[in-house]
Amino acid sequence: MSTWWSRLKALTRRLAAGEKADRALDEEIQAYLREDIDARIRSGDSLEEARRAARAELGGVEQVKERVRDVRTGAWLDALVQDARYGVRTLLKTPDYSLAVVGSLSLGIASVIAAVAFANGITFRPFPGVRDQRELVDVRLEECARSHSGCIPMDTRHEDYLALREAATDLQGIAASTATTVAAALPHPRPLSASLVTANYFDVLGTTAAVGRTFAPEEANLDRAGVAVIAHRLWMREFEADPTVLGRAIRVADQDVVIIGVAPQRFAGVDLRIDRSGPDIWLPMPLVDRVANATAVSDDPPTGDRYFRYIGRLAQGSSFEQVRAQADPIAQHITARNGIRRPVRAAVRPVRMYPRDELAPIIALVLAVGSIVLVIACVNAANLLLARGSARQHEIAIRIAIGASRRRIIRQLLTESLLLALTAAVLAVPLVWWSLRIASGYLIVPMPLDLTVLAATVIVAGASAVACGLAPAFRITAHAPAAAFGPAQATGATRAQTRGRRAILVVQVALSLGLLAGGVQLVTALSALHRSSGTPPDRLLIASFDLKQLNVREADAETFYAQLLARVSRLPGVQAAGLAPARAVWTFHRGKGRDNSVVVWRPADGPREGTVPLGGYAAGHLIEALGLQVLQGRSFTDDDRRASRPQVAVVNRPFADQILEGQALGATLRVAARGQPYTAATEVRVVGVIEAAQEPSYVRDPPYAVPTIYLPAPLEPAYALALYLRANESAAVAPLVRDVVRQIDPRVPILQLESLAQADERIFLAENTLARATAILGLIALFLATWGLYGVVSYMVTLRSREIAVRLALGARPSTILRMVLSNAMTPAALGAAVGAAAAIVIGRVIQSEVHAPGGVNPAAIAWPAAGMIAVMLAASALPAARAGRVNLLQLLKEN
Amino acid sequence: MTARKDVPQGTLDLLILRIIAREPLHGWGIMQRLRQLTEQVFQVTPGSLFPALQRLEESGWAEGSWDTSENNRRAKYYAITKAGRRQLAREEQHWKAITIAVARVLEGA
Repeated sequence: MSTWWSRLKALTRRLAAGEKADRALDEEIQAYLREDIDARIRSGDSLEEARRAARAELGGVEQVKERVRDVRTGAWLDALVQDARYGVRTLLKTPDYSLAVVGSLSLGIASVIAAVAFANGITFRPFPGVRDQRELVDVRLEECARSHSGCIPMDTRHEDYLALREAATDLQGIAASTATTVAAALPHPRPLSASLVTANYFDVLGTTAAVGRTFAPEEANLDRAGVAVIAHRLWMREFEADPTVLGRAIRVADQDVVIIGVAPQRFAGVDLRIDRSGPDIWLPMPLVDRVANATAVSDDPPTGDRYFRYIGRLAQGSSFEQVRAQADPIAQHITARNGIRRPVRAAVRPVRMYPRDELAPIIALVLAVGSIVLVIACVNAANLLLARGSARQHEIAIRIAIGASRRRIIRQLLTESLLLALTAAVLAVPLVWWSLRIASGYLIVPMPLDLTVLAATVIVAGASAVACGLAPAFRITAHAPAAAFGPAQATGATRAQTRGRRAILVVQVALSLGLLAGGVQLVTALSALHRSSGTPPDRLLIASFDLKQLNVREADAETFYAQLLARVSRLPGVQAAGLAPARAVWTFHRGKGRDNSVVVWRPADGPREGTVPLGGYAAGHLIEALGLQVLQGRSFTDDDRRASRPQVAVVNRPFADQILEGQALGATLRVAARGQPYTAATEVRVVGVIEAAQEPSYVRDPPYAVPTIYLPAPLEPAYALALYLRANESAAVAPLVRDVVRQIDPRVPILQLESLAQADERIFLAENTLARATAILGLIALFLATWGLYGVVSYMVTLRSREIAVRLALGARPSTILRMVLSNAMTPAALGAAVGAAAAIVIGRVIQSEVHAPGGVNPAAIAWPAAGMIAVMLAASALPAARAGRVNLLQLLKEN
Repeated sequence: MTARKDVPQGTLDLLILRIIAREPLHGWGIMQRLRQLTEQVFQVTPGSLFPALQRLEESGWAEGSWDTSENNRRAKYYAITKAGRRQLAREEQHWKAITIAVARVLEGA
């Protein structure tokens, strides 16, 4: 112990002494030498002989000093400090080179950190404000298709929830929730995303209010249920974070509710998805029938049920299977009650932001792209280090000659690359922080730069330092010192070195071309899938309304929509306007809303054999506004529209083909609103077949359209409708529509007002963002690659400038030299471009099969980057070659 | 001429401690004593002497101080410390035990 103590003292003393300790050591060895010489003279040697013998025995003052330094406590620390100091000095001496390496590495490191932050954000981040998330389970009552394994949640009733709560004794608690959009007056009319929850919802999630309280048990009764918890975001935005908001009454649908609490910041229950920001307001479940428009997603015959999500918290030591077994009888009970003929089951799953299978490919894609950028950056840096190493061969040869070991030199070079990588990492962090700030505007997933991400940064920086520094360090120190002083050095590179560089070049060109072309193809694929028929998405404006929430009478609703249609049709720039239930034209993969559900019976169908297509009431010039062509027969006439009950119908191509087997025109159908019995159905005659409005799709299926039927008059009072406007410029018309609505009835909120292009953008935000991120990373990779390529190629040519000058002096023609230089650079470039293009074609095919891109592989996406890269390589080799041609041979020979 | 052997690891420290236990000496003086005492069996060079001195000083077993040598030159003299004497005693004991054991094995074989 005392030994350790004295070593520590020695270390601190020496560190305090600094250079003095080294001088003392030097002096001590010199004194030894003098004593030795004296002694040798005393024994009869001449001064010269004595000196030589003494020095020979000592073996060099510096070497002895080096050995003493090696045994000192903290020798490695000394060495590190020394290496680092030396490294900083060396790197500062050539700032342009250092900047190039740091810049390249920081872009590469930033890409990986961003990818890690993204993966970290969506995999490991818990739902904000939710306690012990691991205990939470999703209890789903599902009905499954017979033919395949796909299961969708069943619609259920409140009594099913009560039964579930009773049965699931292995849960500490179970809560139900259902989502809807409500019209609220705050006091300005405004649509709010609402979640109707059971009173125990916040308790099950373990969430306490940021301000005020959450729901109390007695608020499960209708007469006490006029209360609300608002989202932190809404509180900030609408109430300026005023704490006195508690107790204030707001109007939601036609219901007055009192604000009792504010949810914690970012709390969104367990519904948070990549493209959704979560509810604005939570309301007690008893209000569900008052405020919620139907959001049932089921295709099956109408029931009074709706979709509820059930979240449970597992009791200590309970298993998923126990809960599943307890919930299963309830699923069977619902089947019997609702007459469901398909298999049903209860499923219990952990609550996650994303299901694992959905997440894995996204994370893999993002991490892979980020890593490829880093690889390119490392290759760049390695090339630069190698080039720099050749230039430093003199210095290194001298260090080896005066006694430095190869290991020591390698350590020195690695320390330098570590310094560069750490600087790069330090620069990368703000770069990532800034880009994540931008990204988090689009993606709701929190992507904080937490400890995991910072640890990853350090690891990535270290790894890239080793990756880009190791090979050059070995290469550079592999030369015999003599070679560095000889004339061979002038050519700058051994044959192996040149081959190595060429190989790196091929890899670099191939990687960046493949990545970039893949990214471009992904982006074009994703944007190309948007509708090929009908009104262009940016010219179709959609505005949706729900008057049911305002509790208006049927006649008032009718008047409102009639006035709306008449006035917007007269707006400047509007070509056609029509009304239809929300999601009657496109489902946007959210299922058919109940509002637009029509049940249709063919003449031969029995009462229980009706089908539920998309569509329903279509007012005004809907088909014209959508820009759908009439393929057979005709569109609606004013006479059709004047009838109070529909007498005719227009169907789309899939309806005609699939339901009417091609014999559409003139067919007679019975139609009823969903929920009405067969006996209440009306007979209609099909007078026209129109082109289908294709569903936008990123999934593997080919583009498809749902069978759709349109009727010129409503089957039941229409409260919730969407306005479809074909305009020259939807952005210019949108504020005019807002004005028109305000003039007709200022209480009516516009639930959504956006062009179809905006709706697509919103709904496929995650996919779009990922595609763009990939393309941006591809651009960074291209930038890095061209930069690196230029550096390497021009360096390789510069190394040969002596040879070029000699050849020219000996009478070679400049064109011959140029051809030689160009072929040397272009061969690896062409090879790399070929490999990269092949990779890009493969990537294109994969993308095509995954997202269904029309047109398949995009040749332009490959040709442009390839052409650009080859142009860069041409410039990089031709410019130094031209310079070499002007070199004064005498000057060059003198230098060597 | 017989080939001289390198000093076994750790033994050099013991030998130096033994030498400076009698009187403080500077580097060259220690070197001379080592040569005399080991009758040039071991090959000790300045390249191994100075690291050993550094180790002893850092471990607190020897203490260096600058003084004037008999030839009127400045030199660094190494003196054994109390801890050094304890260490020397321990090492001697240890060394004797080993040599006795090894000798016994070699003779018995």
